[in-house]
Amino acid sequence: MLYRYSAAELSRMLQRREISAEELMRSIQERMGSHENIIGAYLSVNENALAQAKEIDTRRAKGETLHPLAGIPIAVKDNICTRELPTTCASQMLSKYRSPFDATVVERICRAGMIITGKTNLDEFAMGSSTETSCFKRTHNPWNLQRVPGGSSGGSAAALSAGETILALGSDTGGSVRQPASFCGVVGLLPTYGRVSRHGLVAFASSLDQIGPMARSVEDCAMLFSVISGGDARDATCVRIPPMEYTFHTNVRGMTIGVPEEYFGEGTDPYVAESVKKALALLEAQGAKLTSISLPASRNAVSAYYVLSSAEASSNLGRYSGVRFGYRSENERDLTAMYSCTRSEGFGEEVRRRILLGAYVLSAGCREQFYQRAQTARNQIRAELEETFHRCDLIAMPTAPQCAGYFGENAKHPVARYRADLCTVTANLAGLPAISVPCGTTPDGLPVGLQLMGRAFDEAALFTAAHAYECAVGRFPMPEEVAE
Amino acid sequence: MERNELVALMRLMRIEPENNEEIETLLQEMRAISAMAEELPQAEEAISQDNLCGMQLREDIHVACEIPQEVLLSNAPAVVDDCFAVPKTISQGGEC
Amino acid sequence: MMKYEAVIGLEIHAELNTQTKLFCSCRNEFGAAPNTNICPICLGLPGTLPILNAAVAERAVKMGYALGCTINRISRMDRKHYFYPDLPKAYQISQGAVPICENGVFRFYSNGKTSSVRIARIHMEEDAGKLLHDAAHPGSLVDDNRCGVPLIEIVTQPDLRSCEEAHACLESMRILLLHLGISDCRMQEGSIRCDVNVSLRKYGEEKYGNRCELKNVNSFSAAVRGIAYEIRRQTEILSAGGQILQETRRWDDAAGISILMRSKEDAEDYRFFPEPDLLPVVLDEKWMQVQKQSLPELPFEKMTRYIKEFGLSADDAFLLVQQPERCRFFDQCTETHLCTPVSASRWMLGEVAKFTNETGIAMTDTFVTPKKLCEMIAYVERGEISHSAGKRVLSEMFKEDKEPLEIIEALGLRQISDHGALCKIAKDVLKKNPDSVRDYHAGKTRVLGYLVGQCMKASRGTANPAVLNTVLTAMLGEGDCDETTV
Repeated sequence: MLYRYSAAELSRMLQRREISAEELMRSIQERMGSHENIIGAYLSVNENALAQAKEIDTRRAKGETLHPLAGIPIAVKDNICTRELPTTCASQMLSKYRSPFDATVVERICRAGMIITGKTNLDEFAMGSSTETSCFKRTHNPWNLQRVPGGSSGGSAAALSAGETILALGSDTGGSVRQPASFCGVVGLLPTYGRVSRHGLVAFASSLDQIGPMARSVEDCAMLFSVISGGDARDATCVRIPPMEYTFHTNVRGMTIGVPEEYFGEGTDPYVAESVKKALALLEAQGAKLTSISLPASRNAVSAYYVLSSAEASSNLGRYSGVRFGYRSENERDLTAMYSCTRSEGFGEEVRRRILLGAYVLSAGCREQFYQRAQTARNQIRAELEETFHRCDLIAMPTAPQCAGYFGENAKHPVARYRADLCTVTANLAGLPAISVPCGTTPDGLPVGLQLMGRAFDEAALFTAAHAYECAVGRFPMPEEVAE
Repeated sequence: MERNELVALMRLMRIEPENNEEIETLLQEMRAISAMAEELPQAEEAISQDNLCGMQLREDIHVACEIPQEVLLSNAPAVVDDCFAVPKTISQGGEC
Repeated sequence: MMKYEAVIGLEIHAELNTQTKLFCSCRNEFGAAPNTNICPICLGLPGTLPILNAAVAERAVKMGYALGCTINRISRMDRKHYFYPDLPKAYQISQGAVPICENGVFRFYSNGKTSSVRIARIHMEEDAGKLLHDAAHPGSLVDDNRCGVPLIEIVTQPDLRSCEEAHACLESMRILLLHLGISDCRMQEGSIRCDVNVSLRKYGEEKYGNRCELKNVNSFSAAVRGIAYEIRRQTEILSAGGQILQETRRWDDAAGISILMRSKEDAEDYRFFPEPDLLPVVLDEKWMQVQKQSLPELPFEKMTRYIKEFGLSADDAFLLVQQPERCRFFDQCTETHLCTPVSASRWMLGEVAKFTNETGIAMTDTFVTPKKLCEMIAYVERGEISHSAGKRVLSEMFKEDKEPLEIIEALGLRQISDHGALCKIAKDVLKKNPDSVRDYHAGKTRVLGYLVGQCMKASRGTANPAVLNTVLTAMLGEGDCDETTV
């Protein structure tokens, strides 16, 4: 039953030698053995995990001072480079790819002694919000197997929720950590842009991508965040400030939380709106001040997001042409045929769509109309939020307007589906930190997420408020029994 | 957006449609996105003045790559004489 | 007479001589075995990010100041997209809308006259890899050693009007890069390349005609041939009543023709947008001042000074500045004030250059220092040794670390200018050659040369030829000479 505990609890048990890292890893592996076939969270599994756990035990036995998280199992999204395991981005294009280097975050978790359980499923190249565009497998929501886990970090969220890992890493470009966290009833953080190194994160949209920690409790999420955050000379956009050191407290007295009403009305599931409002009332009861705000510029967030993220994606994915790495078509008639067949066969439909969309908005005749205007909208959103944060410490809204949907529901209307990202993309566009914390379930038994957005580099405020809420209501449960 | 524009775009991005249906779907989506972009504010030409603290530059010092050549080349679909092999190119160089 | 005027603009790409590449710590080195100077960053592997090399910004700014450009304190890197196997990421990181330097002027000498061309911009960018075509392999092979090697691209306005002027501009630009020490400019290694734009217009017209861009111009001489070809081709079309279309053409130097690559309609859409993996390049004001102040005297200013101050010919001045180390040597010579700058330059461009060219030894690696060279020249200038003796002294100076005076003494080369001594030699020679003396008196004055030669021989080359001439003429005229006269 060790898989049920939080990282903080397990850390104390390991340090007191009440349990061994090996036992813990065995527990996780048993859970994977019994549940992976129905959840499908992982794309590859670390065969050396047990040996690595034993090694941590040996080091501890020798009296070495270890990081508090040493020996804790962690799942890594499969668009984060690892030397020891494949990095596929859930794409045919990289199905056999082996990165020759570890991402900075992987170096950091390994240096802390955490043990990678495996690489988790995602939407192909992180493009999607249901993990359905993965070219390898479907990941099921542990709360209801007929429903999607959200995405793109659906594998990481489902693995946490199903007890197939203790901690996880995801990546968030437009909500890809927070939305699946909310769908699966776990905690997920989008750090401030530049707080976590992107070195080793396979790029989707570079100006929006951030790696984020995921866990089953706020405290765990904060502990993992302090391991992965901090400057890195290998990422020019990574700000050279030290990692967050967070001391836990739950005092929200005097904190002002802005509540933009437009995110609670039309288009938002009433149960979702209600759960979030209830959570906010609880924070208010603890001394936080709620204030109604409006974010008119953020109305354009989804349009701006799709224009900018697709533009960057079309550029970032040009390198997949079958020359230096990855899939190459058997059609090598000539260079053009090799390029076209490789890219058409290697990329799935959603990725192809975004590449074309991105090329379109950057093309000579359209740049001004699309790319420039989206950039302007982005600047306006930034300015609006900056101004709002003069008056508020946090902004609260649902993480997603709806709970987890059924498989195949959105495939027919991709553009309509993009609208569902309204709540999450704003933080990415503004480069601000945001956290999703479970705040109840709908009558269908599906988790709802409360999203809090904060000032740049003020993740501590997010953790404080989220922790206060979590302490007040108790840690969100894991699904009782994973069943149909 | 017109169909021929989309086809030209696909050629530019070295992506072939699977079938006619895919082109039709794509066309619809491109148009939907165009419509969405209509809501965007008029462009103001200005570099975002954020991040103007500037970027820390790298010192010009050689650091040997610790990854052996064979590992760097190991993901390539075709290697001949330590070079990446591709179908014959026409000119010597692409662009400058 | 041609009724069309050529309008020429240049895009010069110079590889910078940094230790490392533009975005990674790989060696920036020519000629290594294929794919040995590579890393995940220059291969564009998934998950890699560029980190800008400070030395590149520094060199670009130096060039900007040298060309009188406005330096943009804030500039931006952009992505330029196209698919080609030598471009790993399918985009080149370059600078688009906001380059590091803009709006300069470059002055240079063309055909002995001052010319100038406006500089539109200078930007930083990365080089692509190399495609190799091996007969044993049916396809092409890609070597990525050159991927990410730093380049600056210098773009001129279309201010040049002839092949010769374009060539002088290119050549002078190369010399400027060498003087600034920012590029090795090794033509045969492709470390400096150019694209040229050529259009024609009727004399007197203001408006430019449609231009053709010539790519794949691998040397300056190829540029001249390509421009000449384009001028001819376009003149023929216009003369026949045709129209020039805006196109990009590929120069085939071996065949001596340009071939259509693409027309304006097919113009490549590079989809420029700001590089999101890099922040804007923000230069420190103080640092910029330091760069500006540390700029050396530039070749054009040097040439002008040599011509005006020292009276050097334009050709000599140009030859001196062509090699920065030669130029430095000359400057040091002039600082000795031992001989005239004109003599110093003549000797440097003559005997010294001959020696360094023949042996391949750099001037600075020989025993000949500016001071020693000038001392030697001073002996010649004062007539203490002959010019030919000077050459001998110099060749000894190259062999051994000795003072000129030592060599002159050891070889007994000090020139005899003493009247009496020369009379004595002349007397002997005349005595031994009565036939010549007779011939001279019979009006065959050209035997004088023979007699001078005999005297030189008798003096083992140490006789001062000018004095000797006077002495001989006098003796032959008067039939005798007063040995006691000084």
